[in-house]
Amino acid sequence: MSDRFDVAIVGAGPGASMAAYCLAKAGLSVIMFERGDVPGSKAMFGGVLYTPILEQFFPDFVTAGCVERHVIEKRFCLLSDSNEIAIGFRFLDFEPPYYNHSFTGLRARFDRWLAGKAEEAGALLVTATVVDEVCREGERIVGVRARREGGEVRANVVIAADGANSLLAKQAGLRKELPLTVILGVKEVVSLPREIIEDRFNLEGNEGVAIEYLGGGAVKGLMGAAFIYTNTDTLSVGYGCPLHALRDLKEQPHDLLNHFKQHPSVRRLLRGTTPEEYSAHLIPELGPQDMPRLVTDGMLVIGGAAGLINANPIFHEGTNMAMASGILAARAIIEAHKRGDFSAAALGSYEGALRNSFAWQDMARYQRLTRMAETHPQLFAKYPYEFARMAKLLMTVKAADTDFQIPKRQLELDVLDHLLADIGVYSFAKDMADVGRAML
Amino acid sequence: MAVNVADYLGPPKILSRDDKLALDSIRVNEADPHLKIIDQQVCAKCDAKPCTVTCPVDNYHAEADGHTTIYWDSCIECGTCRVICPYANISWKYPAGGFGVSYRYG
Repeated sequence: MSDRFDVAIVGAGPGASMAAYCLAKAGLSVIMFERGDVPGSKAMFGGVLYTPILEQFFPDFVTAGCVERHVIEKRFCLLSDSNEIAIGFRFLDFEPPYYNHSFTGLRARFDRWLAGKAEEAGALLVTATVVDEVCREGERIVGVRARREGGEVRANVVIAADGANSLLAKQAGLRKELPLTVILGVKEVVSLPREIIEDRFNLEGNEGVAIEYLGGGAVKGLMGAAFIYTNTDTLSVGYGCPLHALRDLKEQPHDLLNHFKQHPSVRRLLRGTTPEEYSAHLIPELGPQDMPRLVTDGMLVIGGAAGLINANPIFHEGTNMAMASGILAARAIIEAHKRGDFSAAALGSYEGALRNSFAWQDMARYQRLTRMAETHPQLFAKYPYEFARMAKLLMTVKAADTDFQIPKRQLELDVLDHLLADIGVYSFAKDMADVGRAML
Repeated sequence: MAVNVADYLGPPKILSRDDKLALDSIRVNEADPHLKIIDQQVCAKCDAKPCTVTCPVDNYHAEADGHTTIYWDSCIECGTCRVICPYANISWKYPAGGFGVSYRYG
């Protein structure tokens, strides 16, 4: 193996592989380091993949076995301890083969497939190899040091694509330790025959559903969200919750997953399932003050390492943002390569392009919203319960102390009373106005 | 063979910490514990011990004398303990290449 490359990429996730693919196609020599035995073996996500980028580069990805089911339904559920209010969006008129460009997936399969594409394009993939350090000449980063004999590899540019923990960006001085707002994602993949999945979730063929759960019944009153996604013959069942909330709750994270699985409404969807794998991973949702520097002399940071995550309850995105950042990093490096200048100034077009892209803009927008969820805990701790109570009040046919039914007008007045007295119209209106402002 | 719906109506299997871990493939590098407490005296003075309630595989145990035991051989490398420790008292690195957890699904 040559010890000199145009580009050394640390990580072999979706962002790394897209960068490697673009760079290798442009004729640059690329080495990609994966610390697991195969790409994807250390990775975990919720998982829905958003695929416009894949269509552009690999139009036949749908039949390549790298994704599971196309999502035809997104359902959002508020869980109180024993009840559920749900709203579902079922879109059946998107065209095959890409439908709404949302596919459930599993990282061990997806990452391996995408890294294979980078290899086919000419990138060199080195597995089972940890990279702990960058090499420097003065201030300039000139390569990486892998944890093995003679592991020093020189490169004009290093891409830190080493995911949430990004020890490399930290070691290179581009970022601080992660803040306590980062989310711990905890998941089980459970098996169920595909016929049962399709029957139970009202699906045909390769259709899939993504169900998001909010409210105290999902993650024990915490500001977190739980999920069930249908894969081909498995379900991904899990939750995400900020570390500071987990710390304050003082319950074991693996027990919280059991708690969610046993919610009366969730349990019914999971009947007959057998756990196949348990996993946990940090989801690097960072505040603006915690964002790493994205560019320095001889180095770029992409994907989860750069905090490119949109972990709000409606849109859970990340792998698509990682792939976008990988492509933009590759373009900046190809330009720098033509000029033979790999300084921060020469590579800086990456940051500009990223800031103009959906990946940065979505992240920044929803981070404001997440910060608000921290200052307004009632959004998660109070309203879901209160709305579930109001709905139950309105929908309850026979009250305990009546012979006949209660007139609907009385029920409506009771609900109104509840809204005025227990929720507080003014504080609710103020909270909603705050949410609105955070979204502007 | 046709799938029998009645076979899939039982309650979902709920697993203990140990049974969850038993699902995962973890190759342990006995020669090189990749997690270490830097100074047990710091742990002894830490009242909150957030590492003991946030590790997704419950690998951190507070002993009676205030010291912390890490069951590093069942680590799934998420990084939570390193971030949550209020005293940055955990030396945390990735297991050597090819060691540690290996997800089949992810």
